[in-house]
Amino acid sequence: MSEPPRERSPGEPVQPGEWGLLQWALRRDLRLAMRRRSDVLTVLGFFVLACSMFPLAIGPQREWLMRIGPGVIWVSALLAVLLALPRLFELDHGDGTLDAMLASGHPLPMIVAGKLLAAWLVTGLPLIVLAPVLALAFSMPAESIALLVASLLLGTPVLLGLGAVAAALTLGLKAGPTLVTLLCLPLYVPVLVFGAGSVETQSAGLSPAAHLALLGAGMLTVSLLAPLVSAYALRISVE
Amino acid sequence: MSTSGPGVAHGGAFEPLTAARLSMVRGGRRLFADVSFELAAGDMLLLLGPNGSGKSSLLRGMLGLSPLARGELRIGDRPRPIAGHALCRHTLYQGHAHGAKGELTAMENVALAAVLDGAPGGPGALEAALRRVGLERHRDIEVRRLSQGQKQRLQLARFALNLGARTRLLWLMDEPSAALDAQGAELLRELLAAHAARGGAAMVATHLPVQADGARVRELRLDAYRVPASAVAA
Amino acid sequence: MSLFRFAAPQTFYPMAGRMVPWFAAAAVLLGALGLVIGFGMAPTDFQQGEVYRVIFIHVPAAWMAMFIYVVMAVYGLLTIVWRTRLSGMMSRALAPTGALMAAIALWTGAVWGKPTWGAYWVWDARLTSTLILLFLYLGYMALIAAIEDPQRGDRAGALLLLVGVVNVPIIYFSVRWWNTLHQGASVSLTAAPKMAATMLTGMLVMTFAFWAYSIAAALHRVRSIIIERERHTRWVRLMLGVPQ
Repeated sequence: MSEPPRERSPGEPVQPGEWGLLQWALRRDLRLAMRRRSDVLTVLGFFVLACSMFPLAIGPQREWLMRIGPGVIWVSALLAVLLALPRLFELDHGDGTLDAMLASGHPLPMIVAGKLLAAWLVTGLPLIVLAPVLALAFSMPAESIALLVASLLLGTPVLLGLGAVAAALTLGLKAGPTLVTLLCLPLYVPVLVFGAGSVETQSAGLSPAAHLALLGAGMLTVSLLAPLVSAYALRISVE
Repeated sequence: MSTSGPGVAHGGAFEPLTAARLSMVRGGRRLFADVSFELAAGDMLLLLGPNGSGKSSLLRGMLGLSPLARGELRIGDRPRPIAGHALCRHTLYQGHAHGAKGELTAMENVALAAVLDGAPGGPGALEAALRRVGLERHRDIEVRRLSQGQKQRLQLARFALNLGARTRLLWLMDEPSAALDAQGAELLRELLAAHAARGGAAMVATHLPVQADGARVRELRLDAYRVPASAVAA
Repeated sequence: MSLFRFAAPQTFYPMAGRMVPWFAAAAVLLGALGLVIGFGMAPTDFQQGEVYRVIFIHVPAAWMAMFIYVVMAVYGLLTIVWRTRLSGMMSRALAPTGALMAAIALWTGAVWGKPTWGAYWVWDARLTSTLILLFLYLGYMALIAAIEDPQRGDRAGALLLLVGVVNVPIIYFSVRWWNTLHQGASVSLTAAPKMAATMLTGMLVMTFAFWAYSIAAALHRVRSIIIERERHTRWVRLMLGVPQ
């Protein structure tokens, strides 16, 4: 069914095509993350530390911890994502590789989509894997843990997508990381409400279906729009 | 995706580029105004001028990376919007920064750039390009450990690779001879000469002398296009 | 199109200058009228006493905070689509006034909350949404302050406003959801007694007063922005008397 590879005349360019570009950016950023392992581990370390601060501050009573567990884990995950955001485009901007991508004539949103996917795999996914461990430390019951993981699975892409827009807008600015936080937090409120709220709702005996549905809708919308909007923001910032 | 289009005919010939009355405003001031030039196959246009005269900005403006306030661009006969990125597909651009990831090796960087540039040929071509710029012994060394001159040569590897392609026949280079030693400067000369010989064109922003045998070399002094502050109208 | 002539800063500057005193006067007159109605004429509420009168400032401020943000977003759309300089400047000029309105709404909300519910801040949906709106304003102002290049600042701010304005309904909806989930009885500030006609009139008059003030403030501010932005042009240099 598949045809033999087309004979290429010498010198004919090899155009990567859109999905090829996404894969190119994905593999590139994954490889870079592997070489910069400390950055990745810092984010995870922060996540664990932030969660640990609360029992230390409030006291280790199990009922309290069970109550605040979902919220604490969600907020810490959110802050950990914020930590990873400034690096999304800043490094490429600094060494000129971002300019090369912009000047290549290829559709920038596809490249950005690849970068965002890599960022989620490197930052979001580990958070989701670590969350159940922390949830146990907060004495959360099994169904809550499962729901927490599901909400993070749907929510972290939204956090990254919105954060990417903020990171792109603040590219190269001295106050970058602080500014990214200020810009993101208002936009993160709905994600937090529906994400952490879903676990709350379930503990209260009601169905979290609506929360998850809204998160899911948000995830789909942001996944489609974030690459486009951040690519546009990158062009604005590089002018 | 089609391989033909403005800037590259099927036979890979360079379609002449005409720029008329380009002007750019930066921070409220006019950086340069009414810059006009033409580029045909085999041309090399040197952009000269002191720092801050807008050499880099002109190159970026042509690619749509920085906004041009006014002017016209034509590829062949066809006018192209100055706010668009029409030229990007047909140019190979090297900016001020080195454009390589420090954590990756020389070979990995060349391989990444090759995909973006649409360079033909497999790993053999990549090795050949590294050899051409004298970095074959550094192929597996992380770029952050290379010297400035070596990093600059790595950029030239992209151009060496492009010599074997039939697209991206317009080379836009921003200070390519910075940090190059005598051998490196010779390499640049050879690459530019080979590029001109096969019918490509180049615009080189520089304040060091750059040569290319066999190319029609012209100069464009950008500081002649500056608009004195007192004459700036609304 | 002759309308686009007014999009030129040079034409808009004197126009704005002529409009400011009119709107300022309107603001003062309407404000005085509104305060008379609110504090003098409207009946005392038998439940909340005199304190409820603060809604004559709280509600108009909250409405204006929301309205100004939307206007800024519209200017942002103009900036992105048509790249007009003046629309970028108008967004910048409106921002501090919008932030002020949000701050006034929050402060008066707290003033009302303390005697009414015993706490300055009860995390009700409306106030919390207004707080988030204030942060949206502050974020915009911080972004444009951090960007030196005015064109980049205009466009980046515009994009941020567009993203923000799309999210505002979502934020409001999520905060209301969160609030009803956690507090059985809605402690909403709109659960106020049904409005006597005078009360409604008073609020409307004050809203128009705030609106007139916002226009006057924004026009005044945009004149300064125009001068600063266009300081290299001949008409500004002539006006300021800078030797050519």
